[in-house]
Amino acid sequence: MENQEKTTAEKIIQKIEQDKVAPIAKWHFVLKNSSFWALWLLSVVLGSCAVAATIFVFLNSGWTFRSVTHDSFFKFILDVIPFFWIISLGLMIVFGYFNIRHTKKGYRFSFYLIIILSVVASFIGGTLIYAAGIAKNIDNIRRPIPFAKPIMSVREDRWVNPGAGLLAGTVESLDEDNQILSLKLFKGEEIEISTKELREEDFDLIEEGQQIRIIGGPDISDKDIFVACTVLPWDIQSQPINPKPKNTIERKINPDRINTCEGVRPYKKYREILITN
Amino acid sequence: MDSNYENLSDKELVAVILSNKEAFSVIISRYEALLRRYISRLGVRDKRDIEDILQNSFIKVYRFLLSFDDSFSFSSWIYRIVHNETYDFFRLKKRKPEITLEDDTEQVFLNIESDHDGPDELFDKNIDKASIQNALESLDKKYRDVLLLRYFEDKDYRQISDILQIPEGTVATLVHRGKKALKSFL
Repeated sequence: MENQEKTTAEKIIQKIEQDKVAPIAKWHFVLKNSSFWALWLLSVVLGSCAVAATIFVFLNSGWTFRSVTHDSFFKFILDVIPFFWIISLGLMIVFGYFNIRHTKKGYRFSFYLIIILSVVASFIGGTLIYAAGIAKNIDNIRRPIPFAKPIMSVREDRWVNPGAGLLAGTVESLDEDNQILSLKLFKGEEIEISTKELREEDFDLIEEGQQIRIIGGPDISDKDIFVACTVLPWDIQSQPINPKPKNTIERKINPDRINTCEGVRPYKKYREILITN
Repeated sequence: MDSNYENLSDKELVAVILSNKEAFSVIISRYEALLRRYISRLGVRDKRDIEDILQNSFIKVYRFLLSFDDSFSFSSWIYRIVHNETYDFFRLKKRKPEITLEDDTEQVFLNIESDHDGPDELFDKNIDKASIQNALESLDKKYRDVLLLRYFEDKDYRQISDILQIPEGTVATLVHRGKKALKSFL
């Protein structure tokens, strides 16, 4: 009866006192708000890593020699598109949107503004990470993930393919007569390669410890011997500020190349690319 | 005692509530009628339910007092708490909002008319209260919420944005579409 006579304010104050209701400390809200901003920042950093890895993958996909390494442009594109990183970037943008919307004033930003902000921030961050030269390491993170091989692994598989006339690895040694090159393939095996048909410029790239690619084929007289027809640098584009190494893949070759190499399928395609360029 | 606080603004009152709960009773007195009416407009019919929601809302206001940022309007902040508390009530009780219009409906429709986008947006003046009630009840929640705040509670776009926590641009779009949708139900 007594309670009915009380005003709403009195009833509420009484309830607050009875239940010992106390205001939640301010740091709790500050921490909550800061956490959402921090998580947004984390999503931008991870998105930037995805962008850096995507740039790295695209620049190292082997566009120049796609007709040497792939039967069709479609197969090449399917092989090089970094779906893993593109999906990761998408997830990070969604995650970032969710977090920014939960900050104190986050709801005031429109959906498109938050998305554009996150994408632009990820692209700026991604370019900086790529320029710092760590994009290769980031791309390598996906090595244990099935169906998401890093581009270096894809390149290694593509170029360590003696049946297709392609080899890649690290130079171990070159004999005194400049006839036999010992190459440790990226897949671990060490093989000896005949260098009898290489030109002067090719030898410039053959230095101990140097990573190289070789286009060649079995010797006409002895099928067990692999003859190198041309040498290309492994040529990893890891940062835009890096100067290109000497004797890059773009250099022209003399069309009157030694005849033994004329019949080698990838070598012929390789020549066509360089002559038309 | 309360009279000492009567002339203070909401934000000034918030600053003294922690040291004196009496200041909180001024806030309650200032908003209780407005909020009771808002809860009712959101579709709560039972008076005891309205009182419960109101009481829980004010207790929440007290608990979350230190989360209030004075760069916001206090009124929008308290409306937001009541709005959420009311929808929590619907969810917990598994009830649907039952719109009940008061006698100020005619004035509300004058507000909508004066805010029209073009001659084709005008409402038929012979529409009765029951039709409007049904039309509002049939409206999608997102349209009903903005129309209630815009034309029944007389809130501007910024305030609606702060209450519903959606961007102002979205509020404008929802008001425009909501009016069209309301018209299609009438």
